Amino acid sequence: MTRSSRLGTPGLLLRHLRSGALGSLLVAVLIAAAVLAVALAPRAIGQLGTRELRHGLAQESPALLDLTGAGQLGIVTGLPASASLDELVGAGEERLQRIPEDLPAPLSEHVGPTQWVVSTTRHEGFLPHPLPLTFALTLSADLRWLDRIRFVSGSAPVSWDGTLGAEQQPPIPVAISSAAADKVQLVVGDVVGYGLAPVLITGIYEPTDPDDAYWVHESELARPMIVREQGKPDDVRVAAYVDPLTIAALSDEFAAGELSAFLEVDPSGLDYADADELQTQVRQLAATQLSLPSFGSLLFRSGLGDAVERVVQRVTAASALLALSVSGLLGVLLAVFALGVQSVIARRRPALALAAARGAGALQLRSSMVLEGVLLSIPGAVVAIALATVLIPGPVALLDVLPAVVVAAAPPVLFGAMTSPRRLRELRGDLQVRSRHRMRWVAEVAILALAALSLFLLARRGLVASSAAVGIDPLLSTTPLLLATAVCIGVLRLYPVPLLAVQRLLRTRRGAAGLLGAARAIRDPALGFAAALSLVVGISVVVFSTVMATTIRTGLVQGAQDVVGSDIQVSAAHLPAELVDRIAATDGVRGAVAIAQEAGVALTADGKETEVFVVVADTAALHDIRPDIPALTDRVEGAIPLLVSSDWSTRITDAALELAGRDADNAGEIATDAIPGATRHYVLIDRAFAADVGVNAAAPDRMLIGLEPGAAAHDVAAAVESAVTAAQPAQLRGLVVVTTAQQILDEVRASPTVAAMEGALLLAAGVSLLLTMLTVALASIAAATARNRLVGVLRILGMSPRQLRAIQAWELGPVAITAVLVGTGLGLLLPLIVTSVLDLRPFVGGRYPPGPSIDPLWVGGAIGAFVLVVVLAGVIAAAFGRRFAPAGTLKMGEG
Amino acid sequence: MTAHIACADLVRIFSAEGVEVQALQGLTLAVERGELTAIVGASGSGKSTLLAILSGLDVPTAGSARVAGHDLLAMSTRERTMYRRRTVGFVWQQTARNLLPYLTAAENIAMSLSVARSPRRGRAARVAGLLELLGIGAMRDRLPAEMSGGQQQRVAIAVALANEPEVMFADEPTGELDEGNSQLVFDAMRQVNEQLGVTVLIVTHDQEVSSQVRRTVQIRDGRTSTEVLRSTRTDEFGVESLHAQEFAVLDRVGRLQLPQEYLTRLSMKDRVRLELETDHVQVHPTEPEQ
Repeated sequence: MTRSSRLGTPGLLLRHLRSGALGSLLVAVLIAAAVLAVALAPRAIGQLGTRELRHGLAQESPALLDLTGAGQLGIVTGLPASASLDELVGAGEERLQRIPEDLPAPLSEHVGPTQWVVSTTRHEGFLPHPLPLTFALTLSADLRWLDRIRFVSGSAPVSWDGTLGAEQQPPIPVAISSAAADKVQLVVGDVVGYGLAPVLITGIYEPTDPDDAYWVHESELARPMIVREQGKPDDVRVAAYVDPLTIAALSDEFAAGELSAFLEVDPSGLDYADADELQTQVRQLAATQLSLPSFGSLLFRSGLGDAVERVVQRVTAASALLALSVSGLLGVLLAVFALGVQSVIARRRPALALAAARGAGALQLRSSMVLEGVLLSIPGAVVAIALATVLIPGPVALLDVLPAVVVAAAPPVLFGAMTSPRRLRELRGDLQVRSRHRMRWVAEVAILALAALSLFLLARRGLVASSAAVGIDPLLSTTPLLLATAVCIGVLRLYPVPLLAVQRLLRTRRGAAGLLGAARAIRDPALGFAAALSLVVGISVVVFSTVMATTIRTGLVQGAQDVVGSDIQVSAAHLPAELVDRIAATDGVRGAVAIAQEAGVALTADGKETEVFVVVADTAALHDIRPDIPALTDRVEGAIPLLVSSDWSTRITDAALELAGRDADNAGEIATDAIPGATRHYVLIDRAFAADVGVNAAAPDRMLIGLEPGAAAHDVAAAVESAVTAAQPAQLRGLVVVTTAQQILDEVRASPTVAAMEGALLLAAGVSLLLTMLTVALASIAAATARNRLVGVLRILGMSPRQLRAIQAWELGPVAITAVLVGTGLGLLLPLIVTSVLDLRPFVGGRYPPGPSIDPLWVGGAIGAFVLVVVLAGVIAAAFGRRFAPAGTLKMGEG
Repeated sequence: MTAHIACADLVRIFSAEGVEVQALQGLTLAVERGELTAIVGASGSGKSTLLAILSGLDVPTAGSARVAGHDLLAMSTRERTMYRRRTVGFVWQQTARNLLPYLTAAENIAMSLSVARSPRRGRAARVAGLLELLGIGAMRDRLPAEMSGGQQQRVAIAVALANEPEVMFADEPTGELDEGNSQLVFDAMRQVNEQLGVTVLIVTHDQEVSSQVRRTVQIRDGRTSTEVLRSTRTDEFGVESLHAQEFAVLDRVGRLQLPQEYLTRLSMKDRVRLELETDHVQVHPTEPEQ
């Protein structure tokens, strides 16, 4: 065989590094995977935030989001009748159009041009024909009105050339929307009596683009606003366009009227990174009044800031939860990482020891290991970080890349730090001084203290949805890992105790396998701390993810039901008892309850009288569909039982209560928002007592419907809606609103954070299983040499293959069983901690912070999957171990 | 002239939780420059500990040890590194500890040169010279796994000699070899000792080896107990005969270890009777008490 020998130092180093390349490659892949995970996490959370921001804001109405301003338009007065539009309002228009560019970035990047309408004050109008309604009219001018509408009848009004206060005035030509024309039955050519001057309808129009946000902001120009009050005729309010030049003749009216302006906000381009700044900028804008020329002014307001804040809260809760689930995963990853690094160091040890004995200095030894670390880590890390930016595009912030860089830099640093000539000194196994023990105690106590501290801090911080800024809360996210490590330390310390008992028990039995296995498990465990930690954390992550997934699912359903009050909520003007009974008898409906409310009932407590709202319902039926609300059907010692809304209950002592002069009994508290549509201060009584306290229970405006399990909410809701609509008088049909919890749930589920959360938990469980498998395989392969030597000795001593398999099973069995027990406990405990320190409501909704919800079937399945994975990994590793062990592993006299 | 290797009252105590093991208990040894000495002793007598101390891999608990002018107890880390690079060379029993399995014979030697930062230019010649000296020139480009045990140990000697050490230590260098290979390796060491003048200290329990060495030091219970000096004498008929004289080592306070063999044969136990003569001391077993 010919081979060329390299005598130069670089060549020798290359030969050295190339030996065991396959193992090194495996470790390099592991490092790259860790870097990728760490590089992806912040980007994923950032992107999630952006998607949630865009999704969340897209759900909101433009009326809420857009920057909406109200004020007065400064109009130059004293101009001749022939004055141009530009002379009249040119300066104001120019100032208004400058608003978007004057806004600070990033707000300025997401708003459209200023759109504005100036209107006179509202005056009563007198229709040419009698109608059972009152009619009020506003005149509006918009410089771009002709682009927004098309005339369906008549034509655009021309400017008015009359003079206010003159004896003979021509009518003011106006155009009204076809919806308004229908409502008040006006046609082109009609003249409406009006305070300023008669008004002539010259045109009837429809919006060219009815979906334009303009029509949301200027809704009275699109359709009449109808104010309904019981016992009164409809009050119809209409805005009509005049030609903008009419401003000249009506300058005082328009100057005294209202300027309404808005800047459309386009949420589709928003970036989560700007969320905080956007909130500040919107609030600053709302706090400053804008001066317009000629004594005009404008003040903006917008719900954008609040909407962004709600999204931020949701994303923060989600990212905190993500951090929690990922932190456990990170623990497993670190354990695998440590095993990988250790394996490289262990493989290099003999070579380094030899070089050290030949006189290699610490610097030489360290630099060769650092070089190996750099070669293993850096190329893969560069690829991983690049891959992360490709997978989730977006700007690369230094702070986001930093963790990935730290992980990438860890192997070379660790390699260098863990290599010292002193460590390489040949250790005498029989006399090994256990000086490491003191250090181990110190480290263990430190970790226990840290875990206790983080728990204490979390408990003291209480239930919060973290800080406003997105990112990973270090305290919260390290707690599970610290806790797991602490538990693992305890387990490893206590673990020999039951094993010793087992060993004592087995000593009296026949058969060496059990005794030997137990003794090995105690004295020479095949799986070290890193492997044990990764097993414990691995199963706890799997159980935690399962429980959290169930908790979130239950929380979401509960949240949706809290919003609706039950499975289906109906709001309508007219809900007769007969209709309620009919609906209660519908297929799939468990029960239906009508809820009525009346204001101004006197409640006397401690001799002091206050007025409260009284909510009346059939509480027995209500209890059936809302078990949280007790039935209040039986008098208590002659008194009427009632529940007091929690916002009000603090004002009511245990003293004697009277409701409308009747004795009442405080049966407890009810959450203020437990009854949808109720005000803050109310008492709930059964409808049987309504007449006693003078409340009309016959006029409910809401109905709660509970469904049979498995009933199709959508179908039932459709049936209910048609039944309720049919029962309404013609003019009230539009007021029927049917909401189902399922609908709300579907809407919440459509949110990116919820989808991401559910996905992340599944991913955490899956990756955790995979990493556990890898850990077991790595640790088991590492233990192969020792095992094969033992197996060789035992085979010569005459052990059967079955006994040998039992000995192998003992290697993994006790650790795996302990890990399953402890890890499951930890996995069940963590959701309890999480839900008690992290308010998931911004995320799942609902009245109460959701508690952990454990589904035995799911948890059992998760544990089963984990056990299967561990056993599988053990079997595969054992098979590999045998393959790597040639018959010559055991040479007599060796070892 | 001071001895090339000088140990006096060396003590090395290993302590583990509650157990103290005294591996060396006041060992004294002196080896002259250019000597080939064998140290023999039963398993656990402390010979490996002695070698670990002499090679700078371990530090004695007490006593003094000097090798080629280096005080092994007072060396700095840097000095220790230089000592391993330039002053001493080692050959261990297991080939795995001598040679890197993935480097060829020449590369293993070059590794030693590289560690000592010797210039690249002279390496090829040095490697070839060493391989030639040990008669394994053909092994230049072979991996350890492709050589016999004896060849591997000779490569190991070449590696130990790479940086021209003054002293070579060998720990059971023939322990894993058959008789023929043992002889080859031993011859190689003797050749190195004679041709290069390197002081060689061999730790062995192989009687074959020790019988071929001029000086054999016996270690017992962590102390040097006896020494055998062999010399060849030529009588008046021109016939060479090998003479071996056995010496016991007397320490500074006058303690002496008598060979176990003597003790059993004369049933000496607990107490012996001494008689001082004009030029020697007699040791008698005490009479069994009447």
